[in-house]
Amino acid sequence: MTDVHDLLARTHDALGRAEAPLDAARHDDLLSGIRRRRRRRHAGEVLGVGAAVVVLGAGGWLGLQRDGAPQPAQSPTATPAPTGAATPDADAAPVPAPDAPGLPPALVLPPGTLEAATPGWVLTTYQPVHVGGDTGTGSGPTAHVLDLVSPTGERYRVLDLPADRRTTLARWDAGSMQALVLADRADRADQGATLDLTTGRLTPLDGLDEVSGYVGLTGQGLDLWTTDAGDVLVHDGARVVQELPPVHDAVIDRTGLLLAGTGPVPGADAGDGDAGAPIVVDVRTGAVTTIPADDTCRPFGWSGTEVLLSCWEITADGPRATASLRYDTATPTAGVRGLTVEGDIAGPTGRGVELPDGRVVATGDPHLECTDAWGVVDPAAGTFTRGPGVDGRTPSLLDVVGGAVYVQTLEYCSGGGTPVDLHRVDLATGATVELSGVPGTRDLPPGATWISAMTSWVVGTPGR
Amino acid sequence: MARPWERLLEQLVHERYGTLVGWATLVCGSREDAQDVLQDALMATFSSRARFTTLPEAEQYVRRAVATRSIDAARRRGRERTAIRTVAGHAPAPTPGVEGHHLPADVVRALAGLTQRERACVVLRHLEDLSVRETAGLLGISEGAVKRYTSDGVARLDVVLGGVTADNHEPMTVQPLRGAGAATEVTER
Repeated sequence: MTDVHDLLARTHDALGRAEAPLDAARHDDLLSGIRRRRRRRHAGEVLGVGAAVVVLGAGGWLGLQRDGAPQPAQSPTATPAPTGAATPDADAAPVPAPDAPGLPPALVLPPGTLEAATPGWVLTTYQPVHVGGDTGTGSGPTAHVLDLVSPTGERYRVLDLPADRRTTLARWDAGSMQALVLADRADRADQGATLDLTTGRLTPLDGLDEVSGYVGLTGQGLDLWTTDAGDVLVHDGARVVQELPPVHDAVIDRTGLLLAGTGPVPGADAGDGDAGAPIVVDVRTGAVTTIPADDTCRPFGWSGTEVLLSCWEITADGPRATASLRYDTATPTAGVRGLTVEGDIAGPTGRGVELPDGRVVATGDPHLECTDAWGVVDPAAGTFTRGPGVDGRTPSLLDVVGGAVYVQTLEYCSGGGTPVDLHRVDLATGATVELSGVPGTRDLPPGATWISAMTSWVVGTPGR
Repeated sequence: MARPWERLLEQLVHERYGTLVGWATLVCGSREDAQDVLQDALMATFSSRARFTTLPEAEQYVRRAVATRSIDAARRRGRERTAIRTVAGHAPAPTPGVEGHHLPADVVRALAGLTQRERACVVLRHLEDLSVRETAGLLGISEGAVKRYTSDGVARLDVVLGGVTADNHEPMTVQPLRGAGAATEVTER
């Protein structure tokens, strides 16, 4: 860390010393521009009072309960407040949930809806933030809510969460009244926790004090979490029962027994910041098997017992895929073989999800190649079949549950630079439903743009 | 007679303009963008209701405004795509003003290869020494995103510059690309 600081400080110093003074034309533009803006601001300050009232009103609405009963302003406590208790009349007409700038319209959650949710329903968290405007700074979150969304796009507000904290959804058994989440803490790594969807109470999970992500379930129904260092923790819901070697960008196979990713090869120095070589880790024993492919290759998914890898290099024209490979863990002595992926996909393949028939739903890698492609890789046929278009947006994350693909996209390929959206695409018919859109310009200050809205999502899965 | 804000602006521009352009260059990845974003940030800062009475306060405010505006500007112009495509040493050539003064152009070029968010997070965390939370608040992104962007950004600098996070990086060895030519050495000042 010190070296990065020194490097930047020396560069900064040298750049500063070399810079010429502000030229006269820019100086004059600056002065006249500031004077003009200040005059305009003074003239508009009366309007500012009205705007403040609107904001306060919106904040008060967030305190409403599910039954619509008005509540006092939000509690300053860190414990999230449920949006409401069950209403006595389950047949009542749908009631709009309290709104706030940047939030999608939602309904008050009818009693029993959460419990009745089946696999394919989705939980999402929203924390809208905008930047720009006169101050040029980012706003605080306008709200922080947790919604339940049906496969056909009906949205219900479940919880108001503390606006100044981030809650990232990790796993949810459809119909369960609690979800696994990563809860942030000031200046500390995230905490693995359970979130009670009726009370909003967060319960930290023992041994998950510093986690950075959630991988999935093992074959024994244990949860796999990753730490910032890349270590993989096996957790039984009460405690960490095993620590596995570091695996970056881990994908788990259909049996839940093997992890593929990149990491330090056995015997090599760890901790040098390198993503490492492609490896397979046995979840039961922690044994590491090195895939005999060079470190420009990275596993992107599983097809049965085979690890699928994409390899890339950086050229003057940008990142370029060099090869796709397959490695059968059932016959490791066979080494790696070429994987044919013919079709309309540009660049390396991002993390994929295996279908029951061995095909893999995958995207181009948004971190390496700007692409709007996502679709199905068929290792047996050697083909890539493109999925329905996403209007030029870049797919950045996907999941598959119950014959449907859930695709998250963003406007640019930077991995989170703009608000993301979420679509459900029926694998059989291609029918597409927007589950979460990006906020419009309503309620934005002049010159401002939304920089974030939906912050996490998880598709409900069959219970363990 | 000049108003207080005008006097402070004149002092800031006179004494700290070069430093601010340098800062903005690190955050924006190019001197050309840096000048535009800095101009915008100065205008926003001195047009706002922000209350600062000293030069350091004003400079600090402007630096923060540069960071947030660089994100906004990059998104509007679609520079994120460019940044992705220029990863690992294939940023546009440094401007003559930077190269001509024998500055560590490779560092600027390496920074230009990061996405705007990665660059802002790396500079704010490692040069400005902001906390994760402060950086997240300033840029309007989550703390988890700050951690990820910072980690990814430093990792990419490592790839291009060759071990900037190592204990000893003098002299700096620049690795242009994996397997793309021999490494060259540059001397840092």
